[in-house]
This record gives sequence, C-alpha cells and structure tokens, in this order.
Amino acid sequence: MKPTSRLASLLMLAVLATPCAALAAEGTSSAKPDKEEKDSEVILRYGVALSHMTVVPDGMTPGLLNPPAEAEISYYSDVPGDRIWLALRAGYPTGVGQPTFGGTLGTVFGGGKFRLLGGVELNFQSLFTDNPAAQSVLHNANVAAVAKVRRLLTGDSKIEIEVKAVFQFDSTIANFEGLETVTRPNTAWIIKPTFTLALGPIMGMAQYGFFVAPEVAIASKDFAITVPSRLVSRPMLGAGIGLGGLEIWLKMAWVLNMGDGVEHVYRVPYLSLDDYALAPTFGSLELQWRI
Amino acid sequence: MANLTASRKLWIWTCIVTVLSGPLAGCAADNTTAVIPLETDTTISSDTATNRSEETELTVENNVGGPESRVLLKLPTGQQDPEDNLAKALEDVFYFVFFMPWAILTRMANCKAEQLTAANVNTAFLDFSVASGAVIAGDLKISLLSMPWWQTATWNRAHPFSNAGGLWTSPGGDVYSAAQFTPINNTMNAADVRFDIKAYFQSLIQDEAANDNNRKPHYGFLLQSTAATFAQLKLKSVQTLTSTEGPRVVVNYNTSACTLGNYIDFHSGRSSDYVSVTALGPHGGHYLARANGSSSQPVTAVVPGERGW
Repeated sequence: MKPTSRLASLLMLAVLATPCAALAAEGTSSAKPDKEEKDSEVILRYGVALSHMTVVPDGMTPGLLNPPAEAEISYYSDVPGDRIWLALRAGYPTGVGQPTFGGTLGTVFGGGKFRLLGGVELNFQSLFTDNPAAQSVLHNANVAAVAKVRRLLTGDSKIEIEVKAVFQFDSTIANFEGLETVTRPNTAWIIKPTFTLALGPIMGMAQYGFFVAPEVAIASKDFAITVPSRLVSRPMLGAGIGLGGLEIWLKMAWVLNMGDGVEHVYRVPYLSLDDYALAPTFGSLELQWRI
Repeated sequence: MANLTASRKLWIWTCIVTVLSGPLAGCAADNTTAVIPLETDTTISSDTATNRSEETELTVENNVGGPESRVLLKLPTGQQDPEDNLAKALEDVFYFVFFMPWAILTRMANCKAEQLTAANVNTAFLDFSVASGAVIAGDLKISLLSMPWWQTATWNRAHPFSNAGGLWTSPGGDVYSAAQFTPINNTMNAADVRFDIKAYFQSLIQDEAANDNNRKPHYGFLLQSTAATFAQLKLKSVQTLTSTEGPRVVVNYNTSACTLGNYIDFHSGRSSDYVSVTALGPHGGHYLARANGSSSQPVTAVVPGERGW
C-alpha cells in the first residue's frame, strides 16, 4: 500500500469511527427519534476563481478550469417508511461552456440529533467534439459513494462530516498516429468536516476538506506513465445570513498542496462545485431556499 | 502396430524419421525473416515546440548556429492495447508496455518464452527509407532513450503529463550511457539507412531469461547526427502511405529452439488412419508429424504437424 493510500485509510477510519461511535452511543434503532425531519432545498451556486493555476496541461488555458455555476434541488426525509435522500443537479462550468449534470440517490438513517445520509452520486459531462476540452481529462464522468454524518446542535448550528469515494471514468485525451491515449484515475477520496454556526440570522461555516487525489494511469498502445497520488487540502470559510427560508452565503476556499499543476488537473475530480479544486483560491455565492 | 506387416512398419517409421529429422535436428530448416513496422515516431527540433508526430517525414539535421533536429521512435507493442497498459501502469512501476520488444520476438517465433534464446536471432536491423537528402555512413547514430516519451515530445519535453517530471534532463532527449545499457551497434548502411540492432535484441532476451527483475525497459530510440554539421535528411515516417517504407525492424530468426534429447520425448500412437509421433514439451504434447497408414492402407503422405507449444 502506498503512503498516501495508507494515510487515506487512516483518515477514513478516523472520520467514520468518531461519528458512528457517537451515533451508536446515542442509540438510533431502539430510541425513538425526538424529531423527524423532512427537508427540501433549492440551491443556486455561482463559483468564481479568484486566482488561477499558473501551469495547466497542454491544450488548456487556466480559464478553462473555472468553477461552475450550479442549480440543485435536494430532498431528504428521515420519517420511517420514507427515508430517502435525493438530489438533482445541473452545472455550467463557465470555462468549458457546456453543462454538467449530476444527482444523488440515497437514504437517511438515524434520528434525534444525528443523521447519517448514505447514497450514490453520479456526475457527467458530454462535450461537443469542437469544444476545447472535448479531448481532455475534463471530458469525464464519475460515480461516487457518499456518506454524511450530521449532528444537529442548537438552532441551525451543526457539525457534519462528508466522506466520498469517487470512481472516475476513463477519458480519451488524444489519438495521435492512430493510437488512442486514455487516462484512468484510481479512486479519489474526499473528506470534508464542516462546522456551521447559526446565531439568529447570522451564520458562519468552516470546512477543512481533504482530497486524496489518486494515482492516474495514462496509456496508449505504445506508452504508459503514472501520475503519482497526492494529499490536497481545501480549507473553506463562509459567512451567511438567514432570511426566513432563504439563506445567502458567501464562501471562500483555498486549495493547498496542489503540487505540479499539470499533474493536479489529471488527479482531481472535476464535475461539481462541492468538490471543486482546480483554482488555488475561489469564491462562491450561494442562495438556499428551504421549502 | 501389431497388425501392420513388418515392411509397412518400416515404411511408416522411415517416413516419420524423414519428417522429423529436419525440425528436430536443431530446427535448422525453420528460418524466417519478419518485417515489423514501427507505429510511433516523431521529430524534435531545437527551434520549435510543435507536435510533429503526424508528419509523413522524419528530419535529422544539425546546423551550426541553427536548429538541430532528431528523431524519436519506439518499437511497437503488437497486440497490447491501452486497456491492458492502463491496468499495468496502476499495478507496477515497470510498465509491461516498455518490455514489448522481447514479447514481439516471442510472438514472431511462435513459441513460448523458454524456447526463444538470444542465439535464435540471426540478424536484426532497424531500417529507414530515405525521402530526401544524403547520408554518409557514420554520420548518424541511434541511442537508447532512458525515459518514457509521448507523441507530442519536443526538444525540451518528453511528455506533457507533468510540468516538472515531463522535461528531458538533457534537452534533445535523455539516453542511456554505454555503461548503463548494451549500446546499439551503430554499423550503418547509408543506402537505405540501416542499423544493426541484433546485439540489443539479444540483450533483451538474455536479461529476461536471467531475471525478471533485471529487465530493462525499452523507452525507444533516439536518432541523431554525429557530425558537427549535417545537412537535412528526410526519412519516411510511420505516416507514410506505404507501410513498407516507414521505419521498420527486419529480423531473421530460427523459429524453434527445440533440440533433440533436451525436453523432447517420443511416443507413438495409432488410430485407424494414421500413426503419430508426439513431442512432449514443457506445456504438454503436440504431434510434430503424422503419417497416414493403417493395417490395410499403405502410407501415402506425411503431414507436418504443429511446431511449438
């Protein structure tokens, strides 16, 4: 096992063990939930790169890697017999200029102050052949297994840990001399502990995301090379205001320890703003309506 | 054979011995020349970072105060496809794709690895067809590249998949020194540029036979001029419409390495129509020849069987 894989496994264990142990201690199956929840949200997000990578793969420009604007509708319910988590998402990466689509389908466990959401997420992008990213690693799709453990604190304050295993599809990046060259990333792990504080209408959030950006094989019939894996982190801070059912958030994130810029683009998953890490610093404006 | 008359037995065995005497006596009759077209090449020039992999001609030149151009090329991997290479690349730092020249020889010889020895390769040449320009023997040399390169390789960059890791250590292509690797025999025939690479092929086979962990990867060849000034020479590339004129390896080899009395054993069998002789190899037995004869029919033909197993 490679060091980064070992580190990822340890992180995974730590992240999963803590909330699950707490969940078990509090009792979820036998204890009657003190609060059943249904929650529907419409979320609009607009991401802006505040700085760009100085080095990107051949055929790309830094602007091509701009974060997307997204619209998402999500619903979850922990009512017995109706434990479902569903999200549908459409994005528009302003650099690439063609939409991405995604969704999550899962279920909700727990009750009381704890929720465990587990599901499968799908993200994909289909590009026209004349798009500048059509023959690149950006033309991709991924399937992810995602789990979120959430502990509600007082009011709307909460602590949440999200763990995601992202299985990225192969991308054909070139076809010189009739020899197709393809990239194949190993599984990426994303772990995002988040603390959200709500003091009346004033809200704040802090998140420290870890991206175990995986090893990537790049091969044609006569060529093969591996881009090594790397642990990338992404701290994020946000401030928001709640106006009844509407929340307005401003968030800012820093992507740290990218390493070689070209390798970074091949390593990290791309297709949603939630997991975006292709600009050293970026910000986002988010509007969330609870229905 | 109990039902056969003594004369028929003798006739059958005479046929069998006649048939087997050739292939089993050192396999001297099984000598083949194979032409293997290369599939990957490009020109790198000191004055441009353009991708030249799809040009129909390769360029070698060296101009005082001007640009120098060299050629990168790689032996093909045969049937290996990207799917296999992707999986291998994620499993192992020594990529199978870069050991392919040896596998090519194995396949050409149509036999398992243990049958192919360095001694089986009689000659091996790397040939180019001249498109324009003239060359004098000794003015060109080929060396062995020491890192992977992709088709978009340039004078400064071997591949585009890492900003820092994709650069050549020495602009113009990193090569193994003679101390690091069996050097190419640069005996060259200038009429139709030809390099003798027999010793290189033999070294690959010997390394493989000695120890799997000792295998050395084949990242490709670097073709360059040795002269301080070398007028532009154009060679036909793999993109040339006539595949026989592109860069190619021409190998003459003995098909089988089997030797009588080594791991060959004989037993005879009989069906209603023919008698067969089976050579038992390390992976099981296959008949080497059969003669059609029976108790009621004289032998009328001897049919060569499979070689290799």
